[in-house]
Amino acid sequence: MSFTRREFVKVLAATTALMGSGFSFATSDAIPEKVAVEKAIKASFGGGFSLISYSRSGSVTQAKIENFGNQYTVTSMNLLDWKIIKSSLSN
Amino acid sequence: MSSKIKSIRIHPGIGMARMGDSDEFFIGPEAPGVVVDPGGSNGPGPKGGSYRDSKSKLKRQAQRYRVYAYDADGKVIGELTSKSDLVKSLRWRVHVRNMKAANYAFQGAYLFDPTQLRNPSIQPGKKPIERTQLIIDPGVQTIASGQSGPVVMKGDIFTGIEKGFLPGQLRYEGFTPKDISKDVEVAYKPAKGIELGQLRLDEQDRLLFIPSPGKGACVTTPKVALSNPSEFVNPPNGPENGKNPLTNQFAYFNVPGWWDDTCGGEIDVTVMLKDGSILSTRDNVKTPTDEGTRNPQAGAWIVTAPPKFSPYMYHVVSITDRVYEAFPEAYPYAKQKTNFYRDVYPIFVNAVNYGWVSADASGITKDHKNAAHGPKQAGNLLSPMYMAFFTDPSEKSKSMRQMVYALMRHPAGKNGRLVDSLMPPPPQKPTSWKNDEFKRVEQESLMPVLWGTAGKPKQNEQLENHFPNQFLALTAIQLNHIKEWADGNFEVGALQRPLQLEKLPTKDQPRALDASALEPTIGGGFHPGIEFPYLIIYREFFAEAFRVGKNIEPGALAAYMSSPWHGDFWSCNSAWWPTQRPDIVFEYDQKNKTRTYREWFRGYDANGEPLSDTDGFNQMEYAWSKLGMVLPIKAKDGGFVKDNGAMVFTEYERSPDLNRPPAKSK
Repeated sequence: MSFTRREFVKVLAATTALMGSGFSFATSDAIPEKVAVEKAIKASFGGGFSLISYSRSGSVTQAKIENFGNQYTVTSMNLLDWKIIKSSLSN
Repeated sequence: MSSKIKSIRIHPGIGMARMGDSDEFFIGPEAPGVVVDPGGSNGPGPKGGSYRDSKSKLKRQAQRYRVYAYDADGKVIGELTSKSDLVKSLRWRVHVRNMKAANYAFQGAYLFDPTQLRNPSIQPGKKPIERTQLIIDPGVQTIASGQSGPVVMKGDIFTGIEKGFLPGQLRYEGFTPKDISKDVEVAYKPAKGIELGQLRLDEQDRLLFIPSPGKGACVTTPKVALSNPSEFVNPPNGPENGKNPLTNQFAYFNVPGWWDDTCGGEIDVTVMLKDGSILSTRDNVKTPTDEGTRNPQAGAWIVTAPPKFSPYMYHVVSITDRVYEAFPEAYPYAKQKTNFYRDVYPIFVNAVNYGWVSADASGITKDHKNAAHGPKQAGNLLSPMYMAFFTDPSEKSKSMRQMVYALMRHPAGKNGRLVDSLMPPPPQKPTSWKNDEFKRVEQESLMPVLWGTAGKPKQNEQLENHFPNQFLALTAIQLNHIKEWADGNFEVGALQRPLQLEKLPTKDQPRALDASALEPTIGGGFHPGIEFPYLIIYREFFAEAFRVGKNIEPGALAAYMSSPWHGDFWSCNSAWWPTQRPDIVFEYDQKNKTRTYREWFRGYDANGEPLSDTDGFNQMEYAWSKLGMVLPIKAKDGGFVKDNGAMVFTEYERSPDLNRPPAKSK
């Protein structure tokens, strides 16, 4: 992550000001903001994980994430509970 | 029989209690290799117990102390309890302190400087023990047979201080200095009634030392946030050319205005026998309430520390190993032939287990991919193929054994002892490391790949520090066993099932208690340590093995630990001591024998922000007690699930509170 926590908080604050607080978008089909998905990924997998891409299909958010060069494809219905559906790990 | 008793001693000589935010507790290990159950039901503990209470709070781990009677030849006669025929009653005496805020600043063991104090503007120019405004001291406390209820040990700190100035480069909560080059005026408010622990008696009047709830807080307004200013102001070593331990790269070990509720100190007992005679671990005790004077060979010590989140895993070098390094005459197997299953195999088990809690050791990082200790990797020393070679003393397997030994790192210096490079002992500045015998290029390819007492090599490179022992090395005793094994001078032995204390012969129980209390601990790298600081390596501070020396004040050793501990506990998130504080955790698919990982420190903080590498110093104070335990997966046959010979570990009992932003988050 190349920006500081304080900057992160500012961006998030701006996002939530536009969208309302919490994860209300998670129950709709609207595609969540990237910053919200990044936040959810870091909370669920750890601060060292980064978001490569993501998409929304119905109520499911699918994301491709990376850490130490290892990639996971993960899905979530609510941006809080994530399931790993594909992993590049072989060990 | 009472006439046979010539002395009594408390065991363990050095006890270890681990903090938790629950009011419930369980008793820690009392026999080597035995992982204790935390009590309760429907949990992942060895007997189905749970590490959390019904409110999901983390249970505290208490230390039990027992009294043993010795004859004139120093032989063990037996344990004395209130149920013993001879005993009328017992009276325990405990004096603990927290002296962290009053102590010298920690700046790495090799850079120790006795002129640099924590909270330097408060009671300046005094020795740590004289800085009474910065010491939490509940005074001497006692608990005796017939006394019900816990004795809670409480004290105050930052008393009698109104205002002071702190560096503007520190991070403050709700306040940003206009000019960080100028000091900030702060107001102090004393912290009162801080609990350092509780004393209770078990059903036979043995002492239970229950540690504190693991709290920490800042007493200043504005509040100093836990951080490392040197990361943002004049990196890599902060302002003032790195000379100020409040703002340099070691700042998070020395945060001003902060306290925590860890402690250390002395434990004594006086036993009244039914025939009227009195036995005490203190000298000059004639009546049950005499104060007497400390006898370090007989009395014991307590240290409180953060939880051990992976209780089945042991670090490759424990404090017990360090005790034997300092007191080799106390090592029980010194003159015995190396036994593979007793002396070598446990080191391999410990190494392989890192593959479930360390990024590098698990082989998920690019540099160690498929070459680490994961179940299917080259470094899985427990695979059936390797074990066939390792248990074969013949010449046929010698090259394989020699290859393993060749991978081992040795401590710098001709004697192979960490302490030699750190002489003289604190509070003197170490100078011996500058001698030629300790000069060498540190090799990352050797084992173990864990940071050493000199700190991370990359950090030292940035600061142009040329210290020895930047990586952890096994002790000379451990290395000698591996060498003997590699040379073929060993017996294979057999895998031993650990025995509960009660199953051990009476004569072996005291040593079992001494060793087991310190076996599940971190014996390096000491930066400064996580349970016991690097002072454990100096023979000068001890009366004998497992006995803290006579002139050591309660709290004086533990004072060298991070103040508060929370920032260090977060910061040591890579290759320090993952058996206590995992770096990563795995999910394991038993059907396909595949695994995926997440970081152990993850979730939402008190403000609903992700736990992260940008604010972890400050977030750990909220998160530590909610983080998950790493435990082996139980198999249907009552054993543990294994993959290619290696035990499989996964995360249990992580508090659900971490998985959701708090309802009141900003």
